[in-house]
Amino acid sequence: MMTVATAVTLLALTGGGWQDPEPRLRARLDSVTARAVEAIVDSARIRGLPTEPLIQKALEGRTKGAAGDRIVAAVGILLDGLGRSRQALGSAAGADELQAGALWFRAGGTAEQLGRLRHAAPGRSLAVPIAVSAELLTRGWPPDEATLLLERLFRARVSDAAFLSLRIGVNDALRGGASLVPAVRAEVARLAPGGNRVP
Amino acid sequence: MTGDWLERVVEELRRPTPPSDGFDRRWRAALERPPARRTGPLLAIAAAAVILVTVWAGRSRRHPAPIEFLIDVPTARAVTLVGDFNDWDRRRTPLERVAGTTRWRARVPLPGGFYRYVFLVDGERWVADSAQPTTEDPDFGTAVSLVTVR
Repeated sequence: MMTVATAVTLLALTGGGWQDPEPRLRARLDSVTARAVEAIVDSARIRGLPTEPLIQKALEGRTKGAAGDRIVAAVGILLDGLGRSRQALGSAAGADELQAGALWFRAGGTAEQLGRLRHAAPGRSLAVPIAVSAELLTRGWPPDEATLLLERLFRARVSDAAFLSLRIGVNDALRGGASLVPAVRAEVARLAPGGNRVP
Repeated sequence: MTGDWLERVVEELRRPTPPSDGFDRRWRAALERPPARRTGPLLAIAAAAVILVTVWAGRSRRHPAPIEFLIDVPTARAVTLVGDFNDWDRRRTPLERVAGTTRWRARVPLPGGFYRYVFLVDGERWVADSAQPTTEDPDFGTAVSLVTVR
Protein backbone atom coordinates (compact mmCIF):
# COMPACT_ATOMS: atom_id res chain seq x y z
CA MET A 1 0.00 0.00 0.00
CA MET A 2 2.94 2.29 0.66
CA THR A 3 3.90 1.61 -2.93
CA VAL A 4 0.50 2.82 -4.13
CA ALA A 5 0.77 5.92 -1.97
CA THR A 6 4.26 6.61 -3.27
CA ALA A 7 3.13 6.16 -6.86
CA VAL A 8 0.26 8.56 -6.32
CA THR A 9 2.63 11.06 -4.73
CA LEU A 10 5.02 10.83 -7.66
CA LEU A 11 2.16 11.20 -10.10
CA ALA A 12 1.00 14.32 -8.32
CA LEU A 13 4.52 15.73 -8.20
CA THR A 14 5.09 15.18 -11.88
CA GLY A 15 2.17 17.35 -12.87
CA GLY A 16 -1.01 15.36 -12.47
CA GLY A 17 -3.00 18.51 -13.20
CA TRP A 18 -5.95 17.46 -11.03
CA GLN A 19 -9.07 19.47 -11.43
CA ASP A 20 -11.15 21.09 -8.72
CA PRO A 21 -8.60 21.21 -5.89
CA GLU A 22 -10.09 20.78 -2.45
CA PRO A 23 -9.59 24.08 -0.59
CA ARG A 24 -9.62 22.44 2.84
CA LEU A 25 -6.66 20.29 1.86
CA ARG A 26 -4.76 23.21 0.36
CA ALA A 27 -5.40 25.25 3.51
CA ARG A 28 -4.24 22.62 5.97
CA LEU A 29 -1.65 20.45 4.24
CA ASP A 30 1.67 21.26 2.63
CA SER A 31 1.41 21.52 -1.14
CA VAL A 32 3.02 18.15 -1.92
CA THR A 33 0.78 16.24 0.49
CA ALA A 34 -2.28 18.19 -0.62
CA ARG A 35 -1.66 17.32 -4.27
CA ALA A 36 -1.11 13.66 -3.48
CA VAL A 37 -4.30 13.47 -1.43
CA GLU A 38 -6.20 15.32 -4.15
CA ALA A 39 -5.04 12.69 -6.63
CA ILE A 40 -6.49 9.96 -4.42
CA VAL A 41 -9.72 11.92 -3.94
CA ASP A 42 -9.93 12.37 -7.70
CA SER A 43 -9.51 8.64 -8.19
CA ALA A 44 -12.35 7.99 -5.73
CA ARG A 45 -14.57 10.47 -7.54
CA ILE A 46 -13.94 8.75 -10.86
CA ARG A 47 -14.79 5.37 -9.33
CA GLY A 48 -17.97 6.73 -7.75
CA LEU A 49 -16.71 6.21 -4.21
CA PRO A 50 -17.37 8.71 -1.40
CA THR A 51 -14.68 11.38 -1.27
CA GLU A 52 -15.47 13.14 1.99
CA PRO A 53 -14.10 10.32 4.22
CA LEU A 54 -10.79 10.60 2.37
CA ILE A 55 -10.60 14.34 2.93
CA GLN A 56 -11.47 13.89 6.58
CA LYS A 57 -8.81 11.19 6.95
CA ALA A 58 -6.19 13.59 5.64
CA LEU A 59 -7.37 16.40 7.91
CA GLU A 60 -7.35 14.00 10.87
CA GLY A 61 -3.75 13.16 10.13
CA ARG A 62 -2.85 16.82 9.96
CA THR A 63 -4.56 17.55 13.29
CA LYS A 64 -2.74 14.62 14.89
CA GLY A 65 0.58 15.88 13.60
CA ALA A 66 1.32 13.04 11.18
CA ALA A 67 3.94 13.46 8.48
CA GLY A 68 2.81 13.98 4.89
CA ASP A 69 3.80 10.55 3.60
CA ARG A 70 1.96 8.91 6.46
CA ILE A 71 -1.16 10.93 5.66
CA VAL A 72 -1.00 9.97 1.99
CA ALA A 73 -0.53 6.30 2.89
CA ALA A 74 -3.51 6.39 5.28
CA VAL A 75 -5.77 8.01 2.69
CA GLY A 76 -4.64 5.47 0.07
CA ILE A 77 -5.43 2.58 2.41
CA LEU A 78 -8.87 4.05 3.07
CA LEU A 79 -9.54 4.36 -0.67
CA ASP A 80 -8.59 0.72 -1.05
CA GLY A 81 -10.92 -0.21 1.81
CA LEU A 82 -13.85 1.76 0.37
CA GLY A 83 -13.38 0.08 -3.01
CA ARG A 84 -13.22 -3.41 -1.49
CA SER A 85 -16.27 -2.59 0.62
CA ARG A 86 -18.29 -1.67 -2.41
CA GLN A 87 -17.26 -4.87 -4.15
CA ALA A 88 -18.33 -6.91 -1.15
CA LEU A 89 -21.48 -4.98 -0.22
CA GLY A 90 -22.70 -4.09 -3.69
CA SER A 91 -23.21 -0.89 -5.58
CA ALA A 92 -26.32 0.00 -3.56
CA ALA A 93 -24.31 0.28 -0.34
CA GLY A 94 -24.42 3.71 1.26
CA ALA A 95 -21.37 5.79 2.14
CA ASP A 96 -21.80 4.92 5.83
CA GLU A 97 -21.72 1.20 5.03
CA LEU A 98 -18.66 1.59 2.84
CA GLN A 99 -16.83 3.41 5.62
CA ALA A 100 -17.82 0.75 8.14
CA GLY A 101 -16.72 -1.91 5.68
CA ALA A 102 -13.31 -0.28 5.38
CA LEU A 103 -13.02 -0.55 9.16
CA TRP A 104 -13.98 -4.21 8.93
CA PHE A 105 -10.98 -4.82 6.67
CA ARG A 106 -8.62 -2.83 8.90
CA ALA A 107 -9.78 -4.94 11.84
CA GLY A 108 -8.87 -8.17 10.07
CA GLY A 109 -12.11 -9.17 8.35
CA THR A 110 -12.22 -10.40 4.77
CA ALA A 111 -14.27 -9.47 1.70
CA GLU A 112 -15.86 -12.92 1.66
CA GLN A 113 -17.08 -12.44 5.23
CA LEU A 114 -18.41 -8.97 4.47
CA GLY A 115 -20.27 -10.35 1.46
CA ARG A 116 -21.85 -12.99 3.69
CA LEU A 117 -23.08 -10.26 6.03
CA ARG A 118 -24.66 -8.42 3.11
CA HIS A 119 -26.31 -11.63 1.98
CA ALA A 120 -27.65 -12.26 5.49
CA ALA A 121 -29.15 -8.77 5.77
CA PRO A 122 -29.94 -7.52 2.28
CA GLY A 123 -32.40 -4.84 3.30
CA ARG A 124 -30.77 -3.19 6.27
CA SER A 125 -27.88 -0.81 6.78
CA LEU A 126 -24.84 -2.65 8.09
CA ALA A 127 -23.05 0.46 9.35
CA VAL A 128 -23.81 0.08 13.06
CA PRO A 129 -23.40 -3.73 13.27
CA ILE A 130 -20.08 -3.53 11.44
CA ALA A 131 -18.86 -0.61 13.55
CA VAL A 132 -19.66 -2.53 16.73
CA SER A 133 -18.04 -5.66 15.31
CA ALA A 134 -14.92 -3.80 14.15
CA GLU A 135 -14.32 -2.66 17.70
CA LEU A 136 -14.61 -6.22 18.98
CA LEU A 137 -12.41 -7.56 16.17
CA THR A 138 -9.62 -5.15 17.11
CA ARG A 139 -9.86 -6.51 20.65
CA GLY A 140 -9.40 -10.07 19.46
CA TRP A 141 -12.81 -11.43 18.44
CA PRO A 142 -12.03 -13.89 15.62
CA PRO A 143 -13.51 -12.68 12.28
CA ASP A 144 -14.84 -16.16 11.40
CA GLU A 145 -16.83 -16.37 14.59
CA ALA A 146 -17.91 -12.74 14.26
CA THR A 147 -19.35 -13.44 10.82
CA LEU A 148 -21.21 -16.51 12.07
CA LEU A 149 -22.71 -14.70 15.05
CA LEU A 150 -23.57 -11.58 13.05
CA GLU A 151 -25.48 -13.77 10.60
CA ARG A 152 -27.36 -15.22 13.54
CA LEU A 153 -28.17 -11.75 14.88
CA PHE A 154 -29.37 -10.62 11.46
CA ARG A 155 -31.62 -13.67 11.20
CA ALA A 156 -33.10 -12.66 14.56
CA ARG A 157 -33.67 -9.14 13.16
CA VAL A 158 -31.70 -7.51 15.93
CA SER A 159 -31.91 -3.71 15.76
CA ASP A 160 -29.07 -1.18 15.70
CA ALA A 161 -29.92 -0.22 19.27
CA ALA A 162 -29.58 -3.85 20.29
CA PHE A 163 -26.16 -4.04 18.64
CA LEU A 164 -25.09 -1.04 20.70
CA SER A 165 -26.48 -2.72 23.81
CA LEU A 166 -24.44 -5.83 22.96
CA ARG A 167 -21.34 -3.68 23.06
CA ILE A 168 -22.28 -2.26 26.46
CA GLY A 169 -22.99 -5.75 27.78
CA VAL A 170 -19.62 -7.02 26.60
CA ASN A 171 -17.82 -4.07 28.18
CA ASP A 172 -19.63 -4.65 31.48
CA ALA A 173 -18.66 -8.31 31.39
CA LEU A 174 -15.03 -7.46 30.65
CA ARG A 175 -14.96 -5.05 33.58
CA GLY A 176 -16.32 -7.89 35.70
CA GLY A 177 -13.38 -10.06 34.72
CA ALA A 178 -14.84 -12.06 31.82
CA SER A 179 -12.88 -12.91 28.70
CA LEU A 180 -13.84 -11.33 25.40
CA VAL A 181 -15.09 -14.29 23.38
CA PRO A 182 -17.32 -15.83 26.08
CA ALA A 183 -18.67 -12.34 26.86
CA VAL A 184 -19.62 -11.77 23.22
CA ARG A 185 -21.19 -15.22 22.93
CA ALA A 186 -23.29 -14.57 26.04
CA GLU A 187 -24.54 -11.29 24.63
CA VAL A 188 -25.38 -12.86 21.28
CA ALA A 189 -27.27 -15.63 23.08
CA ARG A 190 -29.21 -12.98 25.01
CA LEU A 191 -30.22 -11.14 21.84
CA ALA A 192 -30.76 -14.17 19.59
CA PRO A 193 -31.57 -17.14 21.79
CA GLY A 194 -31.79 -20.60 20.33
CA GLY A 195 -29.17 -20.24 17.63
CA ASN A 196 -26.63 -22.83 16.67
CA ARG A 197 -23.74 -23.39 18.98
CA VAL A 198 -20.52 -21.70 18.00
CA PRO A 199 -17.91 -24.35 17.24
CA MET B 1 -69.51 20.15 -7.56
CA THR B 2 -72.00 20.02 -10.45
CA GLY B 3 -74.95 21.38 -8.43
CA ASP B 4 -74.43 25.03 -9.40
CA TRP B 5 -74.09 24.15 -13.03
CA LEU B 6 -77.30 22.13 -13.06
CA GLU B 7 -79.11 24.90 -11.23
CA ARG B 8 -78.00 27.40 -13.88
CA VAL B 9 -79.31 25.16 -16.66
CA VAL B 10 -82.61 24.56 -14.88
CA GLU B 11 -82.93 28.27 -14.13
CA GLU B 12 -82.51 29.13 -17.80
CA LEU B 13 -85.07 26.52 -18.80
CA ARG B 14 -87.59 27.81 -16.25
CA ARG B 15 -87.37 31.45 -17.28
CA PRO B 16 -90.85 32.53 -18.50
CA THR B 17 -89.85 33.62 -21.93
CA PRO B 18 -91.38 32.56 -25.20
CA PRO B 19 -89.34 30.22 -27.35
CA SER B 20 -86.84 32.14 -29.41
CA ASP B 21 -83.34 31.87 -30.89
CA GLY B 22 -81.99 33.86 -27.94
CA PHE B 23 -83.54 31.50 -25.43
CA ASP B 24 -82.09 28.48 -27.24
CA ARG B 25 -78.64 30.05 -27.35
CA ARG B 26 -78.72 30.86 -23.64
CA TRP B 27 -79.74 27.42 -22.38
CA ARG B 28 -77.40 25.66 -24.80
CA ALA B 29 -74.57 27.91 -23.64
CA ALA B 30 -75.40 27.15 -20.02
CA LEU B 31 -75.41 23.44 -20.83
CA GLU B 32 -72.07 23.56 -22.64
CA ARG B 33 -70.32 25.67 -20.00
CA PRO B 34 -68.07 23.30 -18.01
CA PRO B 35 -68.95 22.90 -14.36
CA ALA B 36 -66.80 25.02 -12.01
CA ARG B 37 -64.03 23.02 -10.31
CA ARG B 38 -64.14 23.51 -6.58
CA THR B 39 -61.50 22.15 -4.25
CA GLY B 40 -62.99 19.88 -1.65
CA PRO B 41 -61.95 20.42 1.98
CA LEU B 42 -60.20 17.03 2.24
CA LEU B 43 -58.12 17.76 -0.84
CA ALA B 44 -57.14 21.15 0.59
CA ILE B 45 -56.12 19.58 3.91
CA ALA B 46 -54.09 16.91 2.11
CA ALA B 47 -52.32 19.52 -0.02
CA ALA B 48 -51.53 21.60 3.07
CA ALA B 49 -50.16 18.50 4.82
CA VAL B 50 -47.93 17.69 1.86
CA ILE B 51 -46.60 21.26 1.82
CA LEU B 52 -45.95 21.20 5.57
CA VAL B 53 -44.13 17.86 5.43
CA THR B 54 -42.01 19.05 2.50
CA VAL B 55 -41.08 22.26 4.30
CA TRP B 56 -40.37 20.33 7.51
CA ALA B 57 -38.18 17.78 5.67
CA GLY B 58 -36.20 20.53 3.98
CA ARG B 59 -35.80 22.30 7.29
CA SER B 60 -34.67 19.05 8.94
CA ARG B 61 -31.97 18.63 6.35
CA ARG B 62 -30.76 22.18 6.89
CA HIS B 63 -31.17 22.04 10.67
CA PRO B 64 -30.56 18.43 11.75
CA ALA B 65 -31.25 17.43 15.33
CA PRO B 66 -28.24 17.94 17.60
CA ILE B 67 -26.31 14.93 18.85
CA GLU B 68 -25.02 15.21 22.41
CA PHE B 69 -21.42 14.34 23.15
CA LEU B 70 -20.56 13.86 26.81
CA ILE B 71 -17.34 13.02 28.61
CA ASP B 72 -16.37 12.88 32.27
CA VAL B 73 -12.84 14.20 32.84
CA PRO B 74 -12.46 15.50 36.38
CA THR B 75 -9.08 17.16 35.93
CA ALA B 76 -9.62 18.80 32.55
CA ARG B 77 -9.25 22.52 32.04
CA ALA B 78 -10.57 22.43 28.47
CA VAL B 79 -12.10 19.79 26.21
CA THR B 80 -12.75 20.03 22.50
CA LEU B 81 -14.34 17.68 20.01
CA VAL B 82 -12.67 16.89 16.71
CA GLY B 83 -13.96 14.65 13.99
CA ASP B 84 -15.32 14.12 10.52
CA PHE B 85 -18.07 16.68 11.18
CA ASN B 86 -15.77 19.64 11.83
CA ASP B 87 -12.81 18.94 9.54
CA TRP B 88 -10.83 17.73 12.56
CA ASP B 89 -10.44 21.36 13.59
CA ARG B 90 -9.52 21.49 17.25
CA ARG B 91 -10.85 25.03 17.67
CA ARG B 92 -14.29 24.62 16.19
CA THR B 93 -16.23 22.56 18.77
CA PRO B 94 -15.29 23.28 22.39
CA LEU B 95 -17.25 21.43 25.07
CA GLU B 96 -18.88 23.22 27.98
CA ARG B 97 -18.56 22.01 31.53
CA VAL B 98 -21.90 20.82 32.95
CA ALA B 99 -22.45 23.03 36.00
CA GLY B 100 -21.62 21.38 39.30
CA THR B 101 -20.15 18.25 37.72
CA THR B 102 -16.91 17.01 36.20
CA ARG B 103 -18.65 16.30 32.90
CA TRP B 104 -18.23 18.20 29.66
CA ARG B 105 -20.86 18.43 26.97
CA ALA B 106 -21.36 19.58 23.38
CA ARG B 107 -24.44 19.41 21.22
CA VAL B 108 -23.63 19.17 17.54
CA PRO B 109 -26.25 19.19 14.77
CA LEU B 110 -25.30 16.31 12.47
CA PRO B 111 -26.95 15.27 9.21
CA GLY B 112 -27.31 11.53 8.65
CA GLY B 113 -24.00 9.78 8.13
CA PHE B 114 -21.10 7.87 9.64
CA TYR B 115 -18.66 9.93 11.68
CA ARG B 116 -15.31 9.27 13.35
CA TYR B 117 -14.33 11.52 16.22
CA VAL B 118 -12.32 11.90 19.39
CA PHE B 119 -12.12 14.25 22.36
CA LEU B 120 -9.04 16.38 22.88
CA VAL B 121 -8.40 17.12 26.54
CA ASP B 122 -6.32 20.16 27.46
CA GLY B 123 -5.07 20.38 23.90
CA GLU B 124 -2.77 17.39 24.25
CA ARG B 125 -4.58 14.20 25.26
CA TRP B 126 -6.73 12.22 22.80
CA VAL B 127 -9.62 10.44 24.51
CA ALA B 128 -12.12 8.19 22.75
CA ASP B 129 -15.81 8.23 23.68
CA SER B 130 -16.61 5.19 25.82
CA ALA B 131 -20.30 5.60 24.97
CA GLN B 132 -19.80 4.67 21.32
CA PRO B 133 -17.98 1.96 19.38
CA THR B 134 -14.29 2.74 19.26
CA THR B 135 -11.55 1.34 17.06
CA GLU B 136 -7.83 1.58 17.27
CA ASP B 137 -6.44 3.73 14.50
CA PRO B 138 -3.38 2.06 13.02
CA ASP B 139 -2.76 5.08 10.80
CA PHE B 140 -2.24 7.83 13.34
CA GLY B 141 -1.94 5.86 16.54
CA THR B 142 -4.93 6.98 18.59
CA ALA B 143 -8.30 5.35 19.13
CA VAL B 144 -11.31 6.97 17.44
CA SER B 145 -14.99 6.65 18.22
CA LEU B 146 -17.73 6.01 15.68
CA VAL B 147 -21.24 7.36 15.53
CA THR B 148 -23.88 6.64 12.93
CA VAL B 149 -26.63 9.24 12.56
CA ARG B 150 -29.86 8.29 10.79
